[in-house]
Amino acid sequence: MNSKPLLILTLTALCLLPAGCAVNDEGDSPDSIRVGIISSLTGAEARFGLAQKYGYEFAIDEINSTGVLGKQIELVYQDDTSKPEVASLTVEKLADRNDIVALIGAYSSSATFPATAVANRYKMPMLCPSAITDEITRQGYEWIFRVCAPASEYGRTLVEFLTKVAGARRLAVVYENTQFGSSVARAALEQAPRAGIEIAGYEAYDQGGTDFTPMLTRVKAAGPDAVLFVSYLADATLLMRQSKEIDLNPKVFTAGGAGFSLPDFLKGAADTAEYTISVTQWTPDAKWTGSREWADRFRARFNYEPNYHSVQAYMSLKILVDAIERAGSTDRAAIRDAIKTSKLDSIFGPIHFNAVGQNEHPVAITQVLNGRFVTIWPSEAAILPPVLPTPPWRTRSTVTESSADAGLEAHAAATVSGSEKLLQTLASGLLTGGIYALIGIGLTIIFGVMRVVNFAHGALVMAGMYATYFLFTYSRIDPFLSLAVVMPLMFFVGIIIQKTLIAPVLGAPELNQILLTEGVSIVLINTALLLFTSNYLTMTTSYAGATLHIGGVSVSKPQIGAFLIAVAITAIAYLFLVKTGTGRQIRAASQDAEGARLLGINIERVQSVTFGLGVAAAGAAGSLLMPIYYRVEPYAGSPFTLKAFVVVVLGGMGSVTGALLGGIVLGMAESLGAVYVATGYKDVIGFVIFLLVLTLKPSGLLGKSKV
Amino acid sequence: MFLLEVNGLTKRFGGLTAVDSLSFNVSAGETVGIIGPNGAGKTTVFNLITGFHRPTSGEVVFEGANLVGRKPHEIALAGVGRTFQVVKPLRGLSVFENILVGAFARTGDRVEARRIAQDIIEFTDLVAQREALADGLPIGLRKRLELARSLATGPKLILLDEVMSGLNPTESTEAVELIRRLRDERGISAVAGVEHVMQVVMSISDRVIVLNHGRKIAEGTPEEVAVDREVITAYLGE
Amino acid sequence: MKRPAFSFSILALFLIASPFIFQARYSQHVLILVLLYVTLGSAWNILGGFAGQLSLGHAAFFGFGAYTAAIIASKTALSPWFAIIAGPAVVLPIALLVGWICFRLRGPYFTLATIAVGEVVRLLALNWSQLTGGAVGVVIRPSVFSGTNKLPYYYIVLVITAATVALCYVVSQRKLGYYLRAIREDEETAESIGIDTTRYKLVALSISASLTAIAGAFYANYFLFVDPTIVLPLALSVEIVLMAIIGGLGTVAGPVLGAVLLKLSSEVFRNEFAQANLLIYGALLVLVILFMPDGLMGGFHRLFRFGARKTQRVSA
Repeated sequence: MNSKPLLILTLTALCLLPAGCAVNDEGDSPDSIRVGIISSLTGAEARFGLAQKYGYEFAIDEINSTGVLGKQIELVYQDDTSKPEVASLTVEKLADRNDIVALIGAYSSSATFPATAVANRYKMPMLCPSAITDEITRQGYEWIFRVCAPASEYGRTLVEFLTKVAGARRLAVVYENTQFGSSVARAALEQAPRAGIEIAGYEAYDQGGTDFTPMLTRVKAAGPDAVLFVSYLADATLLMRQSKEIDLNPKVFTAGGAGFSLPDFLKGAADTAEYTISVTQWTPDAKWTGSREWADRFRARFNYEPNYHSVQAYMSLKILVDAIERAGSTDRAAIRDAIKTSKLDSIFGPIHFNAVGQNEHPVAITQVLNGRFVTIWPSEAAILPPVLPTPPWRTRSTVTESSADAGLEAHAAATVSGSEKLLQTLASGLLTGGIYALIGIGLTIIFGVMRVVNFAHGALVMAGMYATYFLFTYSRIDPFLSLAVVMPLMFFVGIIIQKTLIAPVLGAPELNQILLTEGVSIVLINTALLLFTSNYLTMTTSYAGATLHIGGVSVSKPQIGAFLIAVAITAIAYLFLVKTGTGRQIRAASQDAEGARLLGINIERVQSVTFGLGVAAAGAAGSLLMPIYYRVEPYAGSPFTLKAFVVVVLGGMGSVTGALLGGIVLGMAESLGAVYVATGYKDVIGFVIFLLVLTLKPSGLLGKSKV
Repeated sequence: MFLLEVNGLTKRFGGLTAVDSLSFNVSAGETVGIIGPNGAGKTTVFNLITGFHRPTSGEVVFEGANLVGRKPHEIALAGVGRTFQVVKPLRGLSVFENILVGAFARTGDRVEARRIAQDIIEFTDLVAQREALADGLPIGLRKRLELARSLATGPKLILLDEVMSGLNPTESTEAVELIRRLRDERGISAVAGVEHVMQVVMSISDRVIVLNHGRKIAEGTPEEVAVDREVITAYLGE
Repeated sequence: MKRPAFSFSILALFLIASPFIFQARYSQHVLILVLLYVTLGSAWNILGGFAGQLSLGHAAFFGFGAYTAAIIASKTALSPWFAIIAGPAVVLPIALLVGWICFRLRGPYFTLATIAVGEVVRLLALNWSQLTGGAVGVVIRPSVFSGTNKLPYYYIVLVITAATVALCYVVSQRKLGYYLRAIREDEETAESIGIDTTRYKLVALSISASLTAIAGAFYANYFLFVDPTIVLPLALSVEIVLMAIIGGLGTVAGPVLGAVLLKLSSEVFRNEFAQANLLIYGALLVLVILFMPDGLMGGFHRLFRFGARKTQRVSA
């Protein structure tokens, strides 16, 4: 046993541990009372975190002008990075500090729920401004209080609205599979049948998906007259746009707040946001004391449209401060007792916590009318009457008021026949498959020539997406045209990567190649995170949402365009490999590198060119994805790495035509699976196919050595 | 009874017949050489015997037991050792540790395995390199290590694939000497597959088999084979 | 022989005394996390480092252990600590099944298959709400210990970690360790010297998966909340591999060093440069592969071996 490494290890550990364990503890400050705020300052929910931050700041201004118990309130922000485990840890960190008197936070239900368990365990009073999951108040926690209305209230109000106002009989629920999404969905699921509403569909999707069309096809085929979407921001936009694409026309689109209630939704979803109905916890025109004036002051102060997330944050801090004053001390138990007996009249309505710590707050319903959120229900709170039924998509571009005849006709067409459903499914699958094929082509030629398994392929697609986004946003270059820029750019990037990173490990064990490309992937993704943060960046082309209707099938025009270009690129690639000199060299090199070298072929050049072409194809796929999915974030490419491998395995390593076939097969299989089996397991289909093909027919569906 | 019997061994890959109805025997204490030009099928024959490929037809019998269909490690444990044309020493491990791995085939006990490895390392004259890292060795020693590792598993028969390739004349002589000692001192039979270096093959083999295009075209003593017309044509004519 | 014992004693003393040196709860949490990751890295290393089977799906086993504890807590009256035993018991047949499917594949295909397996398990946990609570996750009530005092948790994980590392060391010195290394080197060669590669790969996988599941069961009992994004993400599998590779594939101390470095630096970087931390690790991975494929520890070994070559050492 060699002792020296061990010694070094020990010393390293000894030196690093103190550094890692450093905790910034500031000690007591006599002039201020410190309150811990946990919010999503970065991460997927950063937009909501920002909204909350404005709320807290607005409250602090007011509070500190007079002070509390003769002191100033100081907020100690902790970023939960939109992750549950981080939220829990920050609670612990704050609870450990003697100078923190109470906590407010977090934002999302998934982050807040575990955090409340920790706060309760450490006997720290905690106010939850915005987490709606019913679970929080079902645990019997003594120290936790929730300011906003819970999911069950969303369900109750929505169902009431649907039965009494919209006259809906069949409801489809589409929700993201998170704490938030499933809470609201569950509330609707429980309450709707009691009111006589049939549940026509119940679809959960994995957060951050890009293609909802199979799921929405399934929903459309179930013929609901009402649809409930529960999602955060990015998916909200996509859901509405894709609903338009496949011509889903229920009588009413409803939503569970969150993404559907942010001003960003109005901007992102543009015309598709119109007429959507959502629950809300507050609007500027709410009929509570001083709401409107508050909204005006807020708007002026932050140049940001106030929404209920900001109000909840604001109110939570106000409630806490009120409790501290009534308690007359900063003792945590005293504060908790004071919160329990809160009784306030506010811009958020009357504040009063019941026995399980729930503030009994009513929920209202808004509708997007003329590009603004307008409260439409209940009647005491309504500013305008609701516009129902929702005009079908095809009638919308012409008139703002729905024509009754057109409405009836379109609604008659809303029932979907079995063959229409199948055709729609196949069409979606085919078009998606074209993109898969393009991604797969890049991977397959790289593997064919160099036997390198490129785990960075998805990240390279992501790079293409970002490039396209910036070209569009700053240079107004249409994504389809930007191919002319992105492809050569990525080609050169590919050559650089190959020469500096790949070439050295070509002779090394496969392990090294896998790890190297995985490392490149990590670097690419985290560089994007550092440069662009994890926020979704969205872009809207002028033809976004343009749809083609044939028979009962609706397809997005941009997607057709992308498909045709993908096929064109495949064809060009095939011709290149078969007809040109370089192409033949590439094929020779993929058959037998040594033999090719003996024939005088410059193998190194061939390898560089091949890798460059592969990366160019990946970049092209990224460009084509942008007009379809409208958005990019650092992890956008990750699911494609594995899908690309499935495509390549299906089609046979090194075969371009195989990749085309494989892509289409995968696209169709996923679409069919999502529509006819279950949406939640859509991605599993790819994996299962992958495993089956690898074990049963490893050379792929077409067999070996096809171009 | 023969130690190894190969009867009608045939292997087809798609349309290509790599080995065509090959039959030969090896007796205990014999050293047999298999020669043939590049592509004659020597490595395929070895792969067939040691279980890395499955024969299309034919049988392989070792010590009376059928080997066809058994896994390579089972065949190795049954007493058929093998070295590869491209040697693969275990990197990061010393010469001694490499041999030790082979020794574990005979026992699970560390002490006993070390004893066996020590014996082998002395027999193969690698004591001076005992602690050296295996992948740092020159090709000649690496080949010897490969042989030593296989020896440690306790085989009765070793198949040596291109054991001479890449060796200079001194190294070749040493290798020949080692193979001779295998037979004389340990009673281990060997089948050596070689493409070139005819003289070397001739000097160690009791018998020689000549392959071309997967078929046996000659068999006999080294002297007989050396003057066989078909053999000469095969090497020079093509 | 004096030197190793001396180093060991210092290290052991330090580890035992740590919670008293670092009294802040958060610091203790960091210590526990570091130890947990050491266990994960070492457990993975048995399959990935010794046997050379690069699994990017190990989070599945961790998740199994964690969810076993969660299910015991939510559906039975037993203490979730039983998952320390039940977790590996549940994982073993799963691991064998996974091995049976995946070990037919070599190199990158194997890795891809493990990614697929990891994702399938995550999706199952996400969608099978009746059993796992789905996206909502499971809150676990503290059992046996209060949940606020970290000391008992620290010592438990210390024992688990010490046992895991010790097991790795023992394996590396015995037939199993040598056989796994031969498999890693070249499976055909291994077969030719009598190694039943399938069997030993399954053994390595079983040990690796079981230890990982134990770590998962501990985590559930410590963190007291389990959901698919925490215990089953692909990112966790990648992190585990990162630690082992950078530290040194196939050495006993490698994953230890890698885990310590990675976790501590992620703490140092967390608030300001969270992304920078991972970026550095990705870049480090690339550099390590290009210039020091045996990782930091392997680099040390070779350096020091060079020096020790002159003297005739008897291997321990």
